[in-house]
Amino acid sequence: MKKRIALAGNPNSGKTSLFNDLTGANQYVGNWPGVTVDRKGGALKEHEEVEIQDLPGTYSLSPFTPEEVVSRSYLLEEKPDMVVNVVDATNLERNLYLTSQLLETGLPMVVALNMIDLVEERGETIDAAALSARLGCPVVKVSAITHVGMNELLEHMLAEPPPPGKALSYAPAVENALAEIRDRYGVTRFEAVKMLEGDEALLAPLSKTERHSMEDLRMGVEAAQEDDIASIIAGGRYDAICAFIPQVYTRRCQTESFTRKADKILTHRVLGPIIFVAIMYGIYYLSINTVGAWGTDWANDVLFGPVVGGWLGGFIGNTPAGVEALTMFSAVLAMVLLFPSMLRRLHDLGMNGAWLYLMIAPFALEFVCPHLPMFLHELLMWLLLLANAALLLICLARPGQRGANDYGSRTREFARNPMKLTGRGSRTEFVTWFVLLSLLSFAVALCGRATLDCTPQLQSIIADGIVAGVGAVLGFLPQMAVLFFLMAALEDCGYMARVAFMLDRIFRAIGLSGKSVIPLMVSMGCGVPGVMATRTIENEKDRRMTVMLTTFVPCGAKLPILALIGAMVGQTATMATVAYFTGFASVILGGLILRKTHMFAGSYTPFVMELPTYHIPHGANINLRAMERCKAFAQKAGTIIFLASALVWTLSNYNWSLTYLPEQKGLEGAPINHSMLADTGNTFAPLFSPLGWGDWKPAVATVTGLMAKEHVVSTLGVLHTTDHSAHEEEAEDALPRSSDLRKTNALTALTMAAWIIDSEARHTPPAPATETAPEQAATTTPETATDKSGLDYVNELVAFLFPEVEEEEEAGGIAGNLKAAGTFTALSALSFMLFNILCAPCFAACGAIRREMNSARWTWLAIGYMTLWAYAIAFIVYQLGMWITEGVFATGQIAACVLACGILYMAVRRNPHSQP
Amino acid sequence: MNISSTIKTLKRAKVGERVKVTKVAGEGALRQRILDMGLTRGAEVEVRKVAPLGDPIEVTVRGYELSLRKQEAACIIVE
Repeated sequence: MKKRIALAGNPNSGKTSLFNDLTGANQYVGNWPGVTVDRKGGALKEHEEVEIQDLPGTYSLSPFTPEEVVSRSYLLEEKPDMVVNVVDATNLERNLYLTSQLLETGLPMVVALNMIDLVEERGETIDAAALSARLGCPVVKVSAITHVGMNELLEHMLAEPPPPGKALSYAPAVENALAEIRDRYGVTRFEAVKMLEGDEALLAPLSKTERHSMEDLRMGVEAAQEDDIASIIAGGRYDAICAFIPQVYTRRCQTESFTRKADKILTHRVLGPIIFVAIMYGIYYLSINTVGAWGTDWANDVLFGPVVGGWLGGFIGNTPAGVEALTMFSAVLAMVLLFPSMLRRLHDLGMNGAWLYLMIAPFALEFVCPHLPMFLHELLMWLLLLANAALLLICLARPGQRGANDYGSRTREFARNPMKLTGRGSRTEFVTWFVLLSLLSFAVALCGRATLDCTPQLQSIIADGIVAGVGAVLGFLPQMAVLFFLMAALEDCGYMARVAFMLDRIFRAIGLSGKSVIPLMVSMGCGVPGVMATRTIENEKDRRMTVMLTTFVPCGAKLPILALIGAMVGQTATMATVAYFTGFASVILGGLILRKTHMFAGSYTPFVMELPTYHIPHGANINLRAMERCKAFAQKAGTIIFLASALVWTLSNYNWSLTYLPEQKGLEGAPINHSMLADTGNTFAPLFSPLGWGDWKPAVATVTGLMAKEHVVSTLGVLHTTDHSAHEEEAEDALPRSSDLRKTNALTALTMAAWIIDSEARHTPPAPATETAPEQAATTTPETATDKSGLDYVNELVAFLFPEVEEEEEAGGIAGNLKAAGTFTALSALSFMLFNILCAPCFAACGAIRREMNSARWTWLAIGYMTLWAYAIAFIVYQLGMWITEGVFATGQIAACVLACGILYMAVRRNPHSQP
Repeated sequence: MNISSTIKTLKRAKVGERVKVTKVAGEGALRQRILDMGLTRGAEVEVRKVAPLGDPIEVTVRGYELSLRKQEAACIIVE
């Protein structure tokens, strides 16, 4: 029989930190179906006979919020063998309110006074012994972050459960009533209180007369206390707590706390919103425009270009890959594989996980390199190289730090899964994984010289289908990582609650709450983290609604669509404005409409929210959260995107008799015109003719856009060029292959390779960015390429600040072809753009929606709603546009008018479900 | 939820004012939530500030900061 221990406590009391610390390596996360909040289960480290349940944070056990229901039903129905009540010691009074309820349940309990270090830092003391005597259960001072007191807590958890604690007493009138109920029905104190309060579930089995006598009891108590029962009970608990707090807690005369000082500025009436915009812009700028974009450019142009491409060509093609490409490949692979082991090893050494960023730093430096003087760049590279080597040596050689937080040996954590992020890894374990994974990466990289020379079909499906598709999504990972990291920092420090506080008023107007701000903002960068950011919204309905609306905001990947259509029509700025306006208008209208449907109707959701104290973000927490999200993102790319890419490739390269089209002779036009994809496109193209683009090409582009929205542009490009093979070749092999670099140590080679590639790149002309560049590149010698005029620097600065400019130019070529082909009129182009911006998001975002909704039905509902909405808007715009520009007035226009009026009516009508 | 205009509620309290809760009106989940958060009879509340757009408000109660909408503050009768 397993011993079951539940962790219960207020939100923000550090339960999850404690849980991760206690379960470490053996943690698993389970999403119970139908439950909107996660209840996590895990086995205690080194004591697998003990199972720990991390209950959702609650302020009380009243069954009103989903979190409370989950916690309450677990505690009362499954009766764990012991409860560890995690109490935020910095906020004793309110935290003990839940403790008082837990005491009433009569379950054996240990109180963990978490964050005790912060209390003691302020010069205050809590008398644990006195508190323990008062509550009748063991009280342990702990700090999950600094690992203080964890051993003591662990001893209590492994020992026999203590006897039930002493419940706090209410006023005499209440106590008498409770005693009577307990005598009569033989129930626990908690149940007696609930029955007195009139809890329907507990009163149901009683007869009518019994219910009447209960009613009388209640009225008697209410009359004696001159208040109503809910207030008497809640007030009674708080009064009892206040009565003994002075005996256990020595408060120091408070100087103005940091939180108050910070809030004076951060939620200031005028400065607050300005600072918020600045912070959001900063995050957007860092992740989407600069740092993250450099990473993404590197991943797309170097990693998935010459490195993985070269390796793949050597593996399944017939040209063996160059040594540099292979070194790089092996180094990156080794780094990715070793990342988790290294993190665990750092935890074991008691070092901050942030040291890992040293491994990424050489790459980061490479992105910045054009903007740094050469000597500084080389100096930094050398320093990074040394630092990396030192870090690796420490990890390989230093024994684990057996300190106050060391409980049990680590042998059993060994070898389960090298990709696990939590837990601590011993030296032996790390050395083993280091050797194995380095060898593995090296062996895999060597495959790049195998030249298997597979059939063209196989080569094509792997290179153009899977690697291109997965690569396109993984290419976003650097941007995502930066975004996740910054968002995790913001979440951790307590600023998010302030944002919700400041903007609640605006969002309430459209039926959302202040907490929906963040997802919408993040979605301007990418919908995937945007959807994930809805996690912070506690209310289930608000969260679902935010998930349904948030991907309407045009994300970064939709920018190329805007650029393409803008370039085609010749009105880029107007088109972009229209797109963003429609996106936000869709959120607002959607909010107004959805709030009035029966799905989202119902109880008014209170916005009674704690504003937690600010604290400096804890490095390990942020790291772990950001890395876990990155891992989830990468895993999805490896599964959903993998399959989808292979499917689209197959559909676009074979016809129905399964003939491989590119090898077919005598086909008219591009081979793809004869594919299953074209035929499929033709079947459902008529669907889109009311929107003005009933041709199969835009229809197919829309479908491939589901893989990633950039595919809309690339598909249109492919479908509108007769001779697109020449276009592809120019980008190949930008990697220099001069020096012969042989390094067995993958991690060192990683730094070296990045450096060498970079210094080579400095001596070769940059890859041509536009059509006019090749002539220039041909005339400049490597020496003169570094000689830049002032104007070049200005251009570089412009390109650095506005990376989209390049995309627009790139799209320019396709736009010309599009215009020439006459697929679109200006109006149908507009409708096409709007549809693609509003309709179902890419698979990656759909996957995120699926995970956040935690229900297939809701996922389909969300995706269906978005697509319908997109169709309706595109339809109205096209049909009414035809009326205005061409003077056409027929069924389509009437339908559009009716639809538009319908939408307006839905948005402005009185809420049929609102309570009087 | 009709509260006559002569009774002072938390909604009417000015920024910086310290008040004492006498009663929490309203019903159901919302009321329970307010009580659970420590706004019970006798609790001392200090109004800290009003959000940039005039709503919600921030108060200090039982040693921590709490944000609530004016609509909810209107249910809390103070003196």
